[in-house]
Amino acid sequence: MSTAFSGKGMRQSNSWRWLSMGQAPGAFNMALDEALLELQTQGLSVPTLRTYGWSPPCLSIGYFQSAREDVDLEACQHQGVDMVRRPTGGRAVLHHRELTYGLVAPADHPLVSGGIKESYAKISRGLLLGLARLGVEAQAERRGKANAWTGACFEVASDYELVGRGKKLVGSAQLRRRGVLLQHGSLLLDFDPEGLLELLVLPRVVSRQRAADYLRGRVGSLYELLGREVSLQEAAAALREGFQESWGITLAPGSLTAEERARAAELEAKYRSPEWNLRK
Amino acid sequence: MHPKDYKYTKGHTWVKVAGDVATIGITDFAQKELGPVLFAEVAAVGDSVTQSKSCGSVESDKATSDIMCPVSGQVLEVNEEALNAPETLNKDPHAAGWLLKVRLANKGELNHLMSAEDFEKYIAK
Repeated sequence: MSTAFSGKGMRQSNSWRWLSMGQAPGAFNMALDEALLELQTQGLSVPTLRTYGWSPPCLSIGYFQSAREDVDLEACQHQGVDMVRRPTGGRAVLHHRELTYGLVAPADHPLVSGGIKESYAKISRGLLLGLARLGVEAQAERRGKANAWTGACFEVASDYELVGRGKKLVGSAQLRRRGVLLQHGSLLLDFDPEGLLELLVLPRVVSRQRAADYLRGRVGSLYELLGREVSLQEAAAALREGFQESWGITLAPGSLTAEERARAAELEAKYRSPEWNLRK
Repeated sequence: MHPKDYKYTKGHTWVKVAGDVATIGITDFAQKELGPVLFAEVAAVGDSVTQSKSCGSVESDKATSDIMCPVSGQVLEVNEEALNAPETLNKDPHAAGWLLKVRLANKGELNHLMSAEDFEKYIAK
C-alpha cells in the first residue's frame, strides 16, 4: 500500500492505532476526539480508531444545534445526565448504554480517502463487518427523511447511516479540519426512548408517549436485535475485527501519548464550559 | 467552474482580492462535496483571522467542515444574508455565497495560494 501524508506533509505509515477505552464523562470524550484531530493536523499524532463509552450518561448535541431550544437542561440536571456540545454536527444523542467509535485520520489516507461520501462508505464497511460479527445484518442505506419533531438525532436517517431490520443502528457525524477528518458514531447497546425524550424539548402538540412509540419504531439497539445484552468490550472487539477485515490491516493496540493527554485535559475545560455548551 | 481571477486553498476555499480587501467563500467543489448546507458561521467583524487556520464552519447533512482562511487580516464585513440562507452557498458559492471580507495583513501570502488551474488539478487527484 502507498504511504499517506499528514497535514504537515510528514510521511506516515499505514499502521493504525487501536484504542479500546472505557467509559468517561462526555467532556473528556469530546476533548480527546478533538485533541487527536488537532494534533494530527500538526503531524503530531497517528491515524487512530478508538472506542469508548460514557459515564455518567450524557446528552450530546451537534455543533450548530440550539441547546436552549432543543434541550431541557433542568431535566438533564435533575436526572444526573451531563450535556455536551460536540465538535461535529447533527442532533441530540443520549449516550448511556452504547458504544461510540471515533476515527481520526488524514482525509487523504487511502483507507478513508475519496471525499466525504467515499470516506463514509469506507468507514461503513468496517462497521458493517463488525456488526456482522455480532450477528447483526445491517446495511448502509437511506430510508427517506422523517418529520423532525424533536432535536433527536436518530429520528432522521441520512446517507450512510447503518440500518438493521429497518431501524437505525449506527448514527455518525464527520468533521473535516485542515486536511484531517474526525468521524465518530454511536452504536446503541440498548435504547430507552422515553428516557431520551424526557431530556428534550418537544413541540406542545406532540405527546411524549406518541413520540416514544415513533422513535421505538425507527431506532434499534443490539439488545433488541440480538435478544441479549452485549457489553462494551464485546462490541468493541467486534468492531476492531470488522475494520481489520475491511481494511486488510492489523489494528495495533496502543496508548495515548503524553502530548495527547495534555491537550485533551486542556480541551476538557472547554467542553465543560457553558460558553461552549450553551453557545446557542 | 472555478473563476480564473480567484485564488484557492487546499481547504477548498476561494479568495478574490481588490486592493487590500479580500473576499472569501467556499468553492463549488466544496459545496458539491458537502451537499445542501444547513448552517454556516464565520468569524465576527473586527476579529483577526490567520492564513490556513479556521475562519468559520459549515455543516451539511453529511459533514461539518472548517472554513480554511486563505489570508491573514482583520474581518471587515460578513455576509449575513448568505449566513441566514445557507443554501446560497450551494446555489452561488463564488458570488452571492461570499462569506467574509478581510483587510489583508500581508499581500505576500497570496503567493502561497493556488491558481484556478492548479486548484482544478488538485481536486482532480
